Amino acid sequence: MNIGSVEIPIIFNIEESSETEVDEIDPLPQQGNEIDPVVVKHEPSVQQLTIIGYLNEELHSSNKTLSEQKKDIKGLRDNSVTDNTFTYRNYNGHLLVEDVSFSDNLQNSIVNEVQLDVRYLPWPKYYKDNKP
Amino acid sequence: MVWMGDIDIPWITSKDTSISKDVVEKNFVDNPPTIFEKTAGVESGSYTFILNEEVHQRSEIFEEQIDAVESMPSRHGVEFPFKLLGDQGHIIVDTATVSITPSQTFREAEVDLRFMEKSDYQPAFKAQAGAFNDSYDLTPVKSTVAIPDTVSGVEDSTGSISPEYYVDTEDGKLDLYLYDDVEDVIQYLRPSDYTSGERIGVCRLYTVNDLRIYSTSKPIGTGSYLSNSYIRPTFDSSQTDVEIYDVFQGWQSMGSVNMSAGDGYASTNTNYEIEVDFIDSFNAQIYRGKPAIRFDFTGETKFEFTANDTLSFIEDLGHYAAVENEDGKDIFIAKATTDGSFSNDSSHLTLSGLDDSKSYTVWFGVKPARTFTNTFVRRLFNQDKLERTFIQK
Repeated sequence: MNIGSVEIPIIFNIEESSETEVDEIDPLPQQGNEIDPVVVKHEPSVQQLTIIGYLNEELHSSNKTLSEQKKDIKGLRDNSVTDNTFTYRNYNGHLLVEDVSFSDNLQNSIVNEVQLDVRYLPWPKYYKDNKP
Repeated sequence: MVWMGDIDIPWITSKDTSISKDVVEKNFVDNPPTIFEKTAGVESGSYTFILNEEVHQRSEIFEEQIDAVESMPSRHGVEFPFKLLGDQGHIIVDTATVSITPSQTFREAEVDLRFMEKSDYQPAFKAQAGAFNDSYDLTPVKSTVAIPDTVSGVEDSTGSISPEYYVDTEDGKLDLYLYDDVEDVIQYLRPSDYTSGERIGVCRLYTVNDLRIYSTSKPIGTGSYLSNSYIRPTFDSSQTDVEIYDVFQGWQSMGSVNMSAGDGYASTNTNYEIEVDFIDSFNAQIYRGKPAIRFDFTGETKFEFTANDTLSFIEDLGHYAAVENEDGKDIFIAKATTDGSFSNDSSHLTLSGLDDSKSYTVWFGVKPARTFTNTFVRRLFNQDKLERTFIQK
């Protein structure tokens, strides 16, 4: 799987999350009668994805070392959103990469787990002039 | 398998909700403490779903089921009547999370929600008609809202109201109720089959591969189509084909209009209204219970309907023109501008003389059986505000 030009060799899990803020308002009683709460729903937020994958030298198409792969992925946070094209499976848009984290353990010499927390900006709803 | 309005959830594996009530305890020197209870909050919590392609009642694939769940936070809770075990009411979803592990044959989803008890909250509309613009004086300023004929107790501020007429859709009957230019609330009671009303004649969007799109995130392209089980426009690269549902003959192909589509997405996607935005070309909208399509476009000098059969002229009232096809269907084009004029021949109804540097709104549709074209066009023009809401019993 690629985000822009950056490759993540193995994808283990993707978690999608959509969210809308909801407020519960408790009006004061009127004419001695209690009023049930009023629920107000606001505008939805941009969809969030949590992508969990693994870095691996053998499976990387350019055989980049784990260090090089980690460096590339960290660089995603600094990229322009339009550079982070994302066309994996049914996704077709761009990613705003908010956080990148790596799990370090004894298996680091072979695989390195990575988690990316991103906002998914589907095309053509967002950046319609930048088709992925 | 559980229906939440028009969305089928294969399995609900857990329901974890609670009602909280703040309590204030006041301690006095010489008396026992006094406890004051505040109004209880709405029941809230989370449900866990398992999505599966084998048991889905519409045989939707994961892509569709995931999109359905992800669309729930952006849809109004009135679209989700829900009945399971002892719970009956509506759910308002604020967060939906779906976990996708490619190796698994199911998908797990969790939604955080508030539960609006049937005994406390009732579905309703806030409605206020208003003219689309001042190009035409189409009075009286009234419009209609479609409600399934299975409901009861339809009321506004004046009391019980009756529908102006009804329409037959592929899913069942919808009654059309009037509202005028004074803001009002129209309420109704769902039947014992609590969820079915949100599956009758609702607006739906599909890709060229017949995959349902529930959200406003998925891209659409040529071959995608809208349906409200009454009118069905299919958006192609050179024209938009239009079909109409007839209760005796099923879906009938009418012909096409000269609106050519490319890439796009749904900017609005609700049970009562879907608007699709084709970037670099036009927008199209359909409404529940109305056999009409609204087009918003620029860059065109004409809007033209080409029929599959022979047309005969009915009338031209300036803001709309109507023709009849061989099946006896009255087909119209209505405009919201004084620009342009109508013409017709045996196979075309045309609005021409438009300025390709300006934006236009045009309605194309078919007169429902139990009303008049003039009245139906006026109702479309004066639609204005219609919002779904709950009222407290």
